[in-house]
Amino acid sequence: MLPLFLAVLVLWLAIIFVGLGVHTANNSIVLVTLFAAALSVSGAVFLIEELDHSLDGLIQVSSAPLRNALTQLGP
Amino acid sequence: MSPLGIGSIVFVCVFGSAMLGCYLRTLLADHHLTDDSMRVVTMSTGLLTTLVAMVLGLLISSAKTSFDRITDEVMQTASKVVLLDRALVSYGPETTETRELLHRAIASAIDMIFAEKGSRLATLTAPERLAGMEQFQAKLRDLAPRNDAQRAFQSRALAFSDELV
Repeated sequence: MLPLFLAVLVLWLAIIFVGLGVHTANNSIVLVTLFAAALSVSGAVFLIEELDHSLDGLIQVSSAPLRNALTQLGP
Repeated sequence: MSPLGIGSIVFVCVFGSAMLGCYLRTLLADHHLTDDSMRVVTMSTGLLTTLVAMVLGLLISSAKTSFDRITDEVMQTASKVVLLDRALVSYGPETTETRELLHRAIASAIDMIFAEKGSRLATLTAPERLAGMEQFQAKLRDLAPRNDAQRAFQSRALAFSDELV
């Protein structure tokens, strides 16, 4: 993802969460909920970044088909 | 930067701004926190929520599409490699050396592309890999077919190798 694009996206998210924070009373269930929501959203950004870099990282394109083909080549 | 790092930074920013919101509430005087002003906050947040939902959905679907496309390409390449090898086998025993060359070129290409660290799509067109394939193609062209069947297999193999490059 382009850095500027990501920055604007994070800005929007930050504004949303400031809005949510101002809106609510300060107690632990609110904190936990906000924590879970922030975790989900950053999880989505993480997924997008992982899928963009499909040849390394946690989510990779499998090389199994090519390696299978290589074993079939055997001279 | 690694995706995990970016994700963590986004998390810190987002959760930090939620905490900032909670803190702001304790600072603000009561007349800022009336129902009317809160309604404006809710509506603006709703507007941004819609925007972010659409953009995130779009980004995830396009990232997934490009990931699936690369997976497909890997599978197609694998099947082409096998077909190319079968064509060489059908050509006759004089292609043994060529097949070994193909085996080596493919093995090094796999190692290069699926290396643990620092691999990028750019390595798909790395000059060293192209050199290996060109050497293989030159070998393929040097074959001297003796009959029509061998000629057909040679042109078939050349067509597959062109698609692989």
